[in-house]
Amino acid sequence: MLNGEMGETLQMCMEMLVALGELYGAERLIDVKSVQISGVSYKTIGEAGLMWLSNLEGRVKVPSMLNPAGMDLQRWEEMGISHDFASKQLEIVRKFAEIGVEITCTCTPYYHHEIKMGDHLAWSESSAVCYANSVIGARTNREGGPSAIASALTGKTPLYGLHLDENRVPDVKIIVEGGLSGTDYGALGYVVGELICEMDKKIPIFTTTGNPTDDELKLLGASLAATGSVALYHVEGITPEAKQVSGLDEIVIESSEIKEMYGVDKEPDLVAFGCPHCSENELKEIERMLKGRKVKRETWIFASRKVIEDNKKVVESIEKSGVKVFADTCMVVSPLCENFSCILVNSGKAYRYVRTLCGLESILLPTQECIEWACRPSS
Amino acid sequence: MGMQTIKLKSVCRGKGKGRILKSPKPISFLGDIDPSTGMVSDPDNPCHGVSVKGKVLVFPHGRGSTVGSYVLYRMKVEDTAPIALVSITSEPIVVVGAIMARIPYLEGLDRDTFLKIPQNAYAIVNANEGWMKYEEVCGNVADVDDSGMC
Repeated sequence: MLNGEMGETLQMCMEMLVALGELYGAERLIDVKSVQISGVSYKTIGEAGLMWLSNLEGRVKVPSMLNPAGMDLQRWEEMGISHDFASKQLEIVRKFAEIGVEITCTCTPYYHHEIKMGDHLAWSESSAVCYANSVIGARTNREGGPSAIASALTGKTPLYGLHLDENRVPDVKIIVEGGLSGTDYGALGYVVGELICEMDKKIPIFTTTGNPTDDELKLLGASLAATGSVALYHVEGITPEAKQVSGLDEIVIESSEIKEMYGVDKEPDLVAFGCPHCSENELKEIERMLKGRKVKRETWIFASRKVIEDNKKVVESIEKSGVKVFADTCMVVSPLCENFSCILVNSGKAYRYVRTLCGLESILLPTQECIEWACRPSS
Repeated sequence: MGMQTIKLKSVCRGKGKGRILKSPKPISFLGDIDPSTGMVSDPDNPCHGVSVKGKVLVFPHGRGSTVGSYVLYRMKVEDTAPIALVSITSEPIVVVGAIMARIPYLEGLDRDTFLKIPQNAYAIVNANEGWMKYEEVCGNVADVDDSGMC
């Protein structure tokens, strides 16, 4: 492949994987079970990305999925997306479909393809990478868009970083004092991510008296990745690879520090859930909390198309309350920020990126309080 | 004094020749360079306002957003890209970008050589064989501040 006998695209893909492998000291390439590709939103990759994708040839060798796009691929008009943006976005998605990528635009690909402990993957999206490594015990580095495409077309990735046992050992211990639930885990990840980033640590191991669910671990990892570039964490007694390591630096986090993240200093004009995309249980929780009430301000939920289709009844019930449930996109990668000024979220990751990537104000509150704000009339 | 030859490590194969533009600062292809003209737009870079188009771009290393890889590709398509890249160290953004755009790329310059390479020198880059030659030539091609390293 490296010599171009299988076409220019494959040659380029192999060159890229070999060059990255050399850069990171990989001994060889290994096979991957699945690929998840970032750089899908036209807002992110722009004309340059579209140009490059347009010249790709070939067919993916392993199941390959996409990161969220810049809009719901079917209901984009309802989102207030312009026709120009939509046509570019659809062109990008079409190009991916042509090379055999599944058009599952989601940051929760683990709800689509079952992954197992020890599986080697080439995934891109930071929260998905963190979930696969930490909660499942699969192995993936955080790939860039082009290197993930190279892995999709070749079925390979260089063997380095988190694919190797020795790089999966915790380097800092986090002791969590007090009970946490739901959004608290996202807030915890936000605080810890910032702290360990300053300490130049990469892999935290948490000790907590709580018993976090997979949904709570998803929120924790998403925030850790957003503020601390964490791609793997452990929770003692909970995650599959958590092991005692002695002599680590310890940080104690009080639950009161976590609650300090919550505060409303401005009225939100959008309440948004689904960063990362909602699971079945999270959709059901929102439905329960709404209790059939009508929302009084714009309220959006993001989930993958599969989770939405598998939970039609729940979604219908939620939408009866006036909430819109969109697929394929999220509040961070779509250009919808142009239409709002302050977004209320229940996710530490979204809280961060709505500010830094969209340049809007954001408020973080637990899910129940977000629902109450949604049902409260605008003043 | 004839051409100086330096052996370097090839990141992306290919050949190119042209004038050297040496950036003393690390470069982010998203934000530091205007892709429609090739002009260095980072106001803190001494090469600010000079175009990288058709140049052998000598720089310490890349930095910034991963979208920079796509930008390098766009510059190649729009004919505003450097003819070749030469750096002290490499990082994934420019490595991937160079391979996407098929821009010859050598890395592994030592710092002393980096400092010694004259601005505007004429260079031949052969990234198939892993070397660069350069020689100082008369005449101002690029209007670059002579102070500092640039």
